[in-house]
Amino acid sequence: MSKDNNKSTKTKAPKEQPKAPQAAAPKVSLDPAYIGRITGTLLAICAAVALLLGIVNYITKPIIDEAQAAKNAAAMAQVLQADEYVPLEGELPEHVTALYSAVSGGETIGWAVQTTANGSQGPITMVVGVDTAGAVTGVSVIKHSETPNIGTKVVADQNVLDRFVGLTHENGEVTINTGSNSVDGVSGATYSSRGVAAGVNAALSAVAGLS
Amino acid sequence: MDFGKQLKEGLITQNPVLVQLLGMCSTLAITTTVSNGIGMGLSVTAILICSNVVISLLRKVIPSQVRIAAYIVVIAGFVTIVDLLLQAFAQDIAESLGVFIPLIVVNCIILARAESFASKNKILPAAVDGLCQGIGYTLVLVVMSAIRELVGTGAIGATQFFPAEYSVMMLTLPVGGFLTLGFLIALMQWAQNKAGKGGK
Repeated sequence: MSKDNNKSTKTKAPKEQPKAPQAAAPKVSLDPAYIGRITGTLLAICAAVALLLGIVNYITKPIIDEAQAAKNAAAMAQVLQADEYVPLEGELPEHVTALYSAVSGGETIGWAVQTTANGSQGPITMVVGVDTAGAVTGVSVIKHSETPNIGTKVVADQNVLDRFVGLTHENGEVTINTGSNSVDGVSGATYSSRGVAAGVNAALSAVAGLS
Repeated sequence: MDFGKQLKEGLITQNPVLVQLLGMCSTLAITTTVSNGIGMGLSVTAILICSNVVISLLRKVIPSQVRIAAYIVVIAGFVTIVDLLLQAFAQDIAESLGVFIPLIVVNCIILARAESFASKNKILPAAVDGLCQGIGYTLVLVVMSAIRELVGTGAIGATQFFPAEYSVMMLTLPVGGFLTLGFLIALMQWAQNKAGKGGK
């Protein structure tokens, strides 16, 4: 019996040891002054950083917006030259992020469609110009994250993007390399080529849905 | 404080990329062109100096229990500022670096220097440490991106050194990043071993 008792106390003893600091820990962390100091410091740091960010954002936002708008305008002018671009209201189809009707001399001469499609490394945002006959007048990529020297052989090469000019929705879906309505892709950059094709398709079907 | 010693540590003996092996992700991903490498290196250097100074300044105010949270807030603040400034004033660089600018927040170099140096030293040494580590990081990025861009495309920037047909395109791919980094680390180890033996 006495041996058993000894054993049990021996085995218990190490178990109780780690309990002691555990019991003490909540005592410290429940101290209001301690909690107040920690949260107060963090809050003060966060508030100071937030204020600083607010100031920087206030200064840079107009510049960033202006640059983005200029880029969009340049892209639209490149794909379809018109006097003004009127944004169309209403729900936009999938992959289409903005839709403008291009107006020249009071007449609608076509549409500029901003679409986003998946490339090889991420979304490719482009503006596709479509004339009233439903044919592509131009493609301009405004944002992408394709691999330099591979994907950029498609998205940053205007000669490749111009291969899409003249394609229409009536001939079916635009494809790369194979099919009745296909364009030549760039070897090694198949996914980037397909991404641009997907964006063009989205633009063509969006315009087809309009008329 | 000893500027020369800190510079030597940042560049060689404690080089953040080649010896401490910190910030590998961004190093591998963005070193495809020299302009990217310079842009990323300078961004990280600027953020490193700022965060080191602020953390050194606040080292007696920040309770040690919440120090990591406080560091991250400070670092994230500076990263966002740099991101906004790049988008406003250097759009080409902002675009080609893309998501890697916001990801500087979790770049181990900055957090490691905050924890191991800035939180234990006065403001001036902390700023110098940020500068030296930043230079070390930038230098590695520039060397790596120069190798990858030159061998991978035959050109650096707009200057063509040899026809693109003879270039090794693989080097511009992620694989090329790993290979280049591996060789640079090996070279660094070899050089340090050799220097160590010579000293003894």
